[in-house]
Amino acid sequence: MSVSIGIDNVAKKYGDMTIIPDLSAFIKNGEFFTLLGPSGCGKTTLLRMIAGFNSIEGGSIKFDGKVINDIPAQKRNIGMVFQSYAIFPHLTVRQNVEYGLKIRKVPKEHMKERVDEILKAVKIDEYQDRLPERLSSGQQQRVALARAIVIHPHVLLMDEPLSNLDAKLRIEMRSAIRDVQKQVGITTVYVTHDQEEALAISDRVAVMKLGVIQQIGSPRDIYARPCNAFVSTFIGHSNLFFGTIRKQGGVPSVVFEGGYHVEMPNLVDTVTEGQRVVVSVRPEEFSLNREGMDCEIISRTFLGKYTNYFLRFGEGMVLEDQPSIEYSQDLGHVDRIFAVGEKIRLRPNPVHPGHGTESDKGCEEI
Amino acid sequence: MTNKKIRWDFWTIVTVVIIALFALFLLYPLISLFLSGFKDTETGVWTIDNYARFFSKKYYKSALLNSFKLTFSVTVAAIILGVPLAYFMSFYKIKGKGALEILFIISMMSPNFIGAYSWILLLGRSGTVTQLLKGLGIHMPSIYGFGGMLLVFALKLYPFIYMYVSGALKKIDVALSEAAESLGCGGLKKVLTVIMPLVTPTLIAAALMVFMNCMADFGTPALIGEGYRVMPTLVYSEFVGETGGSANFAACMATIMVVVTATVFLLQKWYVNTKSFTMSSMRPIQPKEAYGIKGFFIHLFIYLLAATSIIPQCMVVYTSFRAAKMQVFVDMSPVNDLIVAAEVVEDESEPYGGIAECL
Repeated sequence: MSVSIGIDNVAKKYGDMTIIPDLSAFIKNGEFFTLLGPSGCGKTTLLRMIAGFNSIEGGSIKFDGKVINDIPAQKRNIGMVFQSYAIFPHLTVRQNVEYGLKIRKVPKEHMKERVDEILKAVKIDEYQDRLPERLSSGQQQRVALARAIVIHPHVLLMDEPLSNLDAKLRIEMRSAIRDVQKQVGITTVYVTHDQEEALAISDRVAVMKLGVIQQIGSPRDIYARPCNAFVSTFIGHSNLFFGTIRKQGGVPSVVFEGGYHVEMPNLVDTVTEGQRVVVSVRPEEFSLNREGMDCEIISRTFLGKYTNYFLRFGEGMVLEDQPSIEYSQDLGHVDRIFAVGEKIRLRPNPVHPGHGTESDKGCEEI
Repeated sequence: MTNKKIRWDFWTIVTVVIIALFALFLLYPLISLFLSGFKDTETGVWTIDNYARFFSKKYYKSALLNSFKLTFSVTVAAIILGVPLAYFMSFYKIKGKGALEILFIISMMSPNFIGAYSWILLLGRSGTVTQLLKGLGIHMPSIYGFGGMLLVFALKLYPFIYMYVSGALKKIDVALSEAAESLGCGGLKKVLTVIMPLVTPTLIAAALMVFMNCMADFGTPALIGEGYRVMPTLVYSEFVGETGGSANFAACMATIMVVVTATVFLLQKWYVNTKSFTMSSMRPIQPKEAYGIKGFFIHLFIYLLAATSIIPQCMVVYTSFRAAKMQVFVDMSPVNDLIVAAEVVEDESEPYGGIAECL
């Protein structure tokens, strides 16, 4: 029932403007696949190409190996959840969910059964005779989800479905979506600009920028081992330092400006002696160390579980156009909270505790 | 708010003035009309004879029925013309859209009877087209009566439907249309199950405008209706009639019309209230290219409709440059035409020939 989606060298152009130059990806059957990126990166455009609402200017999109480029949207058997929910305002909740089944001419008894089942699954069975305008946005979201899933589509496409909800409801709905998706086992392509949402909900994430996929991987890989500076700063916060590779002696290491160096036994082989690199360090990957790099606290934010310090490092150590350099101090294991203006020494951890051999730093050639 | 004493400030005065104006210009005429209908013409005593007379004579009842038939047909025709027009103009890229929109508005901007007048000049007994076809041996069916009125009213009033429905279509979120497509519903079925229900409340409001406009119009049936009696012409002839006219009986018939339109209005309000829903459009519908044979027919429909609706206006402009003596056009040089036309307008004995064109 569910299918895999093959995206081969797809291109999207509006006139002279190229939105997606050449994009390939493969989405496995039953997978929860998220397209993540800042607005204008082409993620929604790509989703709408899969749905059939946007034309494809080059390459092909395949469902289970079958090219669907020229099949109109209504014949692709897709379930789509829109950012605005797009619930038919003139139909009750039940009629909304029934709509796709009626089009498919599903027999009455069978239809009732399926609709009842899905209304229960998304917990809106008690509102089934209401008009949509009398529902909260969270409930409307559930109707949209039920309506998309009930037709047993080949793929489920979701276009920023949670962006209109408040923070708490968003977290609740995202696990609801995840549960329903796993229950039905349907291939899902999910579009969001919210990196936390993407990490929480997906099997795999594709990070996009300017129509190009920067990295595809599991949420954990994307976060822990971003392939370039864009991914590292877009997913969570990253502090970017200048560094130089040193391979002489036994273990390869990275030398920061100012002479501080960290041994990194897990560097990729392609780096060469003396190569200039950018090193990304997560705010939580710093630790206080007498031997560390000097920095000054310029401000701090208390965030409950931890305190975020905004830092200033020495001249030329960090990339210039970063919004901030941050260090997160976990308040669970803390001796004292530092004051603004205080000078501290921080050491980036070369090996992520949970990751064994993998480095927690992404390196990029300059 | 226990203090019931009225405080005399600026807003109280405004309120009182508005109520007074309302009473003077709306309530007073309506009530006096209503009361007048219950009076005997000769003796001035209270009676319901007028109503009894109206509903007992087939002559009068048939006029009411005719009014209904005409109004209903016109409304349906206006919807049949206006809705597809609004749909095509909103969903497809139409060449010359801006100019067409202006044409549709212009075709609305003149009294209904000007349309009737122009169509008579074209298709009437001695109309230009009729004469031309007669020369070729073709006899046109008569334009007078029901058919003519339907033509005039439908072409005059469909822009109401077009404008209202276009406005409603602009408020539809394109995601709703896409949602229908994602659920497997495309083409005409999508239009009927999603688009149309969403604009229906607006369409009903527009249809009411058409209904009222057509129901109350006097000029068109007077000019082109001939034997087809409708309520406004009946009221008129009863009011100014030289034989057996009665102002009170006319008032009685006018009251019946007011009641009819008020009923239709209340029905519409009730319907819209039961069907109301709010729409918020994040992304309005983007018109797309109309290709191939479909695009050709869409353009053909729109251009033909625009051309037909603008004919009366063109006719009016054209005839305003023709001289007329009494009600007959005479051939003269253009300069003389203008002078004579101006003289004709000054001549008040000239009822329709010259005045209408210069309105």
